[in-house]
Amino acid sequence: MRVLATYSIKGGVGKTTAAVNLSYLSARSGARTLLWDLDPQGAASFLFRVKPRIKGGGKALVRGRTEVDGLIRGTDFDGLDLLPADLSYRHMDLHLDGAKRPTRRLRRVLAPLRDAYDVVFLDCPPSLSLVSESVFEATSLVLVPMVPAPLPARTLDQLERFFRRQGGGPRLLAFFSMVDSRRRLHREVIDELRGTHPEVLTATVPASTIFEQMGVRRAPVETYAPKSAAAAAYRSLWEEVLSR
Amino acid sequence: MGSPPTHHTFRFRIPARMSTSAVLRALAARWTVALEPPATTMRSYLDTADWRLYLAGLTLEADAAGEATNLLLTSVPTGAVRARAAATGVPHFAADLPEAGNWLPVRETLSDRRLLCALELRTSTRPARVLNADGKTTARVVVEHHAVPVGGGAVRRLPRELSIVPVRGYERAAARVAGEAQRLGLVPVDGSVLAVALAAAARPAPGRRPGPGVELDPGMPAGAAMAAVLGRLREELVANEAGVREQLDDEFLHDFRVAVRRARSILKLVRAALPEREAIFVAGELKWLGDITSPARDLDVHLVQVQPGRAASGDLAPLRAHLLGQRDLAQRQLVEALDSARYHDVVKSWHSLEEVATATGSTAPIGDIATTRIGHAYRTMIRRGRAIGPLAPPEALHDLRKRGKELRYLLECFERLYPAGAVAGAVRELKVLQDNLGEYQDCQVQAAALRAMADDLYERRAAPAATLLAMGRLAEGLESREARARAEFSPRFRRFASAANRKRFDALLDGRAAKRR
Repeated sequence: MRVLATYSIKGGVGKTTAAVNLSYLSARSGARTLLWDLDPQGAASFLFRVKPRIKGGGKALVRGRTEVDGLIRGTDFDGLDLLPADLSYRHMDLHLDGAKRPTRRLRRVLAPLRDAYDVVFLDCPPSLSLVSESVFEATSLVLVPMVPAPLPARTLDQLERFFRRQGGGPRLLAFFSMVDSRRRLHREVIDELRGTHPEVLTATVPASTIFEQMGVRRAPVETYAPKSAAAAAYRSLWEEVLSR
Repeated sequence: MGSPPTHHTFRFRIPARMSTSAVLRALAARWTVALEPPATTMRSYLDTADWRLYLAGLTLEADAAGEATNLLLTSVPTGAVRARAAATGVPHFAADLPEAGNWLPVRETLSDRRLLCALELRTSTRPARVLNADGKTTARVVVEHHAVPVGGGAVRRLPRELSIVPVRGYERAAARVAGEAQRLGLVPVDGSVLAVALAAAARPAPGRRPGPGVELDPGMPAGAAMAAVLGRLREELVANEAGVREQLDDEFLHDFRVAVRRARSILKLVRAALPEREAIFVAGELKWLGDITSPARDLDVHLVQVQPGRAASGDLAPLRAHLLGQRDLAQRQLVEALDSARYHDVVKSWHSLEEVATATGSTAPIGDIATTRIGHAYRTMIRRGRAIGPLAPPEALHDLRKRGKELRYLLECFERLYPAGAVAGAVRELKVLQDNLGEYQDCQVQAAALRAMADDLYERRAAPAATLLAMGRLAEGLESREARARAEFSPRFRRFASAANRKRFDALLDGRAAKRR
């Protein structure tokens, strides 16, 4: 079972969009895929039309008092399941803080699913907290979406420093989202960061109204606009992630 | 739809009087139902020649829809989806299966066996989804209408079916739809689509292939009983012929040869029950049939040793190419032989022998004859086995293996004369010894053949040094296995000749035991 997280310290950079579209592509390739919506806002759950609620709440889940198997919901797509969000996830830091070995908790939640899924995506809330640390412990790859501006580059550096301080951590890959290739600033930031950061992927995700439609259609772009540049971008991104 | 589904699919037969639209309308009256475009697919059920997947509780389907091929792996009893994937074509071997997904059980079950199309169905589907208030799919329903080819271009249409597939976490929705289907008068279906379709095509049900045993009565005249046994073996031979000709899988040739060997043994050991002249003629022709299939089978066995993926397969590639060339040649010669008038005459003579045996064969009860022959074969094995000491020549062990095969064929062909399970126990014990003798002889023969091939390749400068060295290592490995098998012979034979096993055979051969179950 390969566990990947879409993560960023900053919000609104396309984490959930990436998690939803990449998990769909993973399932479509035949991999048994689970998406865990860890964000209390429940955007991924909303997009898959699943109620953002889990029986017993987040505390019981991370403390091992609820069987994760019974909380999983099938999406409308073959091979893709969802572990829904819950409003109580907003207190996840507190729930983890009160538990023994808090950073290992998410990994322990996923452990019983080892033989049931080939790929698990964690859609993380924006923060650098105990939840993030627990995510990093459970994950082999962290995928960081960045908008092409100077600040996200700093965020990437911060994250790398954080992993170094932790003595390793999961593999880090980053990609640019919301890219407007007509804008010079975007082009320059992308070129510069690619030159200095080998972990930045070649594939970029464009800014597109197609993504805005996701909220209305409540489905991955590949299902309603497979010929769009937006869908092609995620296909390229997924191929590159797999090849790295 | 998610994985792994834990709840089974509900299946119902739709009565002929009820239209597909009426069923979907009735469901739409109670729930929001989103109709999806109807489709027609060609569905192939894939399995090995000996139904390995089915026997392991798996069904593998390949649906061709346009240019894509969708693979679906389900559990036999529940229909639960184990894996699915879009593929570029129909897989033939384990290596052709997708990398992503839960295909390991198929890979492990298949090993190096070839996937064949066990059955093809043309299926018209009318899919739909049951939605909740959020527009979320809570159950999938699909009306399927299967058509089975029955030969000569004709098809037989099966009754339409409604399948209700639960979505994980929403199982109650599927159960409610199933309840409604029942209320509408739809009839729950037992048995897999595959089993129903095979029955419709008048094909044997999937599962273990029937053994050579036929229904016999101990009091039956021996001539007629032998005719029944030989008839069953001839059917087995003919059933495998197409697979041998098309070289679909090694198993066809193997089973073809086993049918020949069983028939030869029976003709040799129970000849007194048969019209002599015809039996002698057919026995001679069966020897020819065995001989014409030997080169191809020997090469199949060698090819297993040098399969891609095995140790040193890179160095052994020239040998593999050489063997494949030889195998092609052997196949052409084999097919020529099967096309010959002689082969057709053999099958015809075999059939005639059955008819003459029924009419003019021995009228002595088969129960007595079979018991005598099995007892004799068993005692011969014990006697010859005991004579094999540490310095006995390999030929003595090879001879014992042949006697063991004869005993096994007798036991299997006359199985139904004895109480249920009695023969299986005796065969199991015999197999322990036979596996050892087989390993010993096969390794010896293969090692010798490898060395001869190495000489030949060297003479013709047809392989580099690395290949010859790898062949040497392969031969050494075989010789080590041969030595281990030789060392293992004595304890295995002691077990076979033990008082406990003798008691088992005595009980089997006891006149009182030889009665119908």
